[in-house]
Amino acid sequence: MTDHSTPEQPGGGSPTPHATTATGAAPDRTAAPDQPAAPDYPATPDYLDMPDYPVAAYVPMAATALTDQERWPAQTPEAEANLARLRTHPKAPLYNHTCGDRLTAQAVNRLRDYAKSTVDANPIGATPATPATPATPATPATPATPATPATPATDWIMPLVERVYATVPRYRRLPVPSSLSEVPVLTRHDLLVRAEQQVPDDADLSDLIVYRTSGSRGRAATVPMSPEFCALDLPLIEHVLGQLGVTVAGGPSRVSLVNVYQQPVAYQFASVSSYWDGAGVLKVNLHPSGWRSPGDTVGFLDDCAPELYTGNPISLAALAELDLTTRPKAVLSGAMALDPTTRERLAARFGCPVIDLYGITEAGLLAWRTDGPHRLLPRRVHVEILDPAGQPVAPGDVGEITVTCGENPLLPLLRYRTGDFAALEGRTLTHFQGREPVVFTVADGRAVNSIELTHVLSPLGIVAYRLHQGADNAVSIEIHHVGAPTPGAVTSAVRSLLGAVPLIVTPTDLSQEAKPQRYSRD
Amino acid sequence: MTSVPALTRRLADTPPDFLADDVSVAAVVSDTLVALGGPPLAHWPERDANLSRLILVTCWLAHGQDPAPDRAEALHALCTELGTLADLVDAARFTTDPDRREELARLLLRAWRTTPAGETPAQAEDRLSTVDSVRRHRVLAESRAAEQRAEAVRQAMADRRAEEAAARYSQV
Repeated sequence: MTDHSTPEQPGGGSPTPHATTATGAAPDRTAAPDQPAAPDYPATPDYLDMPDYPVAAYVPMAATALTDQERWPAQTPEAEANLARLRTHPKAPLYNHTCGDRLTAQAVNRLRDYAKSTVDANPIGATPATPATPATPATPATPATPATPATPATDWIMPLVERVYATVPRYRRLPVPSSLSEVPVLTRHDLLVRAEQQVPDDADLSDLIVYRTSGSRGRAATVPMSPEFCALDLPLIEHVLGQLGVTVAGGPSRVSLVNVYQQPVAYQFASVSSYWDGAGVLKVNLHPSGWRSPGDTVGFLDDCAPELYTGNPISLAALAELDLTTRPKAVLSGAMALDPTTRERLAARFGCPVIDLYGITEAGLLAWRTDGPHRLLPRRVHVEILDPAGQPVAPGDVGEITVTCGENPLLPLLRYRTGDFAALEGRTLTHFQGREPVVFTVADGRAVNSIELTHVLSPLGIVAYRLHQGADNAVSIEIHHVGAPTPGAVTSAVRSLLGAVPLIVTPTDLSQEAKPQRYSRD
Repeated sequence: MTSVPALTRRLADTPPDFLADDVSVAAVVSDTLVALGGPPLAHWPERDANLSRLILVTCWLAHGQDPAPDRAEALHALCTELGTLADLVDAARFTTDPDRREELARLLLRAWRTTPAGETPAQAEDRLSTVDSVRRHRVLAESRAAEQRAEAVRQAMADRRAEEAAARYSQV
């Protein structure tokens, strides 16, 4: 179940259960002495006095602790000017946080080397079939035909296992295995209970950052990582875009990425990316409560004209409702499943490729797709598909996606159960189901898998939904109201599979949930 | 076959002279090596008082056992390896404390590659591990270091600087 009670993570991740300012008191601005003076942050100070601020952790700027120098160690004067422009823009959202990339010049170089050696050099990341699309393409770019998947090198796995067994407390007293299959599987519960037991003894703690998982598979877990691992998204996103003939220009005179949310309250901030040569990176809440004037949202976003939008199906559906005149080069959706119909609608609306990303906070981005199955990203991530007992399923069978990855220096993962389910065929994840499948009962007593419900509901283009079957077999389904089909269409689709079960369809606002869980039953 | 109880009894009977400070340690070690069939001591550097007493007690334990040149050689090697143990335990306790007597007896037998009477090699190794002062000290030190590290990680994860985090670029 999604944790409804927690505010989201300052950096733009999933909800965090730990309010940095539990008392809701006014923020201590002395913690960041070189922060710009009040005029740099619109709506200060009456903004701080907002009487009914709903979540203590969202008290504006209360979750900040660094200086700007620490936030952007590699910042250039041009990037600083770009940041100032975004911070002081007259139509800017009500920023309530500030957040950098925390990347040193060395880290930026390592990421660029990573892009060259691991991402670009991988056969899966074949040369783009089409040239880079212009900033405002008239029609959606045609996805390149994927190159033949290659078998990835696995010579890094056993050295990683040996390193983890030598340095990670959880494994220290266990006999060193001779193969990966002998390594016990690691569950989210293991991380939840004692995350510190997973941090290597020789890991540098000075630059540790934390994110909380969404809690969509149970209680939220705290995930430590390095800023460099966090920024691994950038070369990976570039790789995906490269498959579609899209390149990110970056540079300190533009905004490259806007990460959109649609929640009653959410952190909003302006940042710049050293990896993208000072390009702006924004986290923006499209909810009206995040802006001073209703027209500011469109004015600000059109003025930013970002190269990329990222978000989730709900926030991107809200974005699609805006009368934007600018067009991104691509839109990337994550956090929850993006149905093909919704993807096509978004692609038509924005006139660009729309990409469905799959990843987890603990391991980063893992796979992506446009119109086919999820393709694994060319990372040093080993994927296994396991049954409930931890044994590999037969090739092509659906099981739990389990990953081994040493790219986060603060949280190396050996055989980590993601809580998501799919089959592995070559380098693609097929029959992807996200959470564990749920079995529903048809009116005549037969059982059907939730994946079959996905198949009948997908053509309707529902942005997000929650379907529950009670012990009496009655079904209730809540559908996100934005762009929703008629209840009659939903009823017909569900009954085409489940038969004449009692059924209630309710259009509602699901945007308050980090990841609405699609299926459940008594 | 040599039994552990026989050796611990001998340690319990250690003459007080072997714990005295005015004994020529080099002479006692040399005499013991010769009695075991080895060559006399050629060189003996000055050692800490407690280590010297522990070496004297060890020589008392080894003296009178069945001679063999390799035993002499192994005793010589053992005497050079007792420094860590002497740093942790007062030498007199190896004559008065039953666990310490058993520890020294088993250390000598292991040095001599002799399995105690009535035990298998695995049992002997396991029993030595239960009375091994150096091992226990190391485990405790490692445990303390591990807890300190875990606390440092917990603090780092709860730090406001970690909570501020860094900008994320996608939603997962």
